[in-house]
Amino acid sequence: MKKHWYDYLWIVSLTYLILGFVNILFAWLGLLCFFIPLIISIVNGSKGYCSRYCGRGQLFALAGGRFGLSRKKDIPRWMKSKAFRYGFLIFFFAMFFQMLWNTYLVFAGVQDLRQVVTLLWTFRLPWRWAYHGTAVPAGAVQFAFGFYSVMLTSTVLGLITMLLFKPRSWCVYCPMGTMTQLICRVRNASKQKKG
Amino acid sequence: METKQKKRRKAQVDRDLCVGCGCCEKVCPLQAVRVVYGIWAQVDAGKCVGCGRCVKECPASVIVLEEAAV
Repeated sequence: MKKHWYDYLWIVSLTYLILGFVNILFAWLGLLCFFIPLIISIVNGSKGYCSRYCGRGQLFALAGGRFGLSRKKDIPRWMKSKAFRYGFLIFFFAMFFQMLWNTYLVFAGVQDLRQVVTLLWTFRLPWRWAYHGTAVPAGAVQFAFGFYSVMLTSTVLGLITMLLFKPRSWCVYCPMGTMTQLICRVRNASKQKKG
Repeated sequence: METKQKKRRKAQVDRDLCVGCGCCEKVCPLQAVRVVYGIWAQVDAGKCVGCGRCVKECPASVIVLEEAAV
């Protein structure tokens, strides 16, 4: 099959993860992975982002497929249930807003900048090497640490399910995927009934 | 005269559990499957030859090969 430029976006995803170890401020670029799929689903009413442009999905497909790191077993039934997918989306949202609240506290000067990356919402990893002091406000730096935590956590979860189940099993419970599917459901509600 | 109906295996998607990720779309050599309305994958039975690539690829394992009359 013919390769397109967007088939190489896994390189961008990998670079993003590496850059987070170099300078945490690059974490801000991750917002693209949030806004592009949202815009595509709102404007186009499609989930075109997932199959074409999602570099993270490509990364899992590559590691699990070509590099053979995946067991390629079926994902458990409960993991593809609506209850789990929507539940995970709500949990993810809650954690995201908590991160935004912490960012706000640093912005407001109530809390000091914490140079940590929180993995799996629990483990606080010291991440001092990636911040070199800049003219950027402390709140913006805190957001970078928080956002990188979100990105790293989802990558680790995705890697675990990639190893255990099929390569792209992260796609089953990916909060962005669930959210864009929900948007498409609402947007295309009338067409759905006809189809 | 009675014509014998041929039966072939075709991909079938469980719409209720499909997440619409489009992994199937990507591997189908005949572009016989696509995600419609950003919700679920739909197989064009006229194009599908039942190769099973999408079945293997689907991360949610919601595609199966089933016999269908052609």
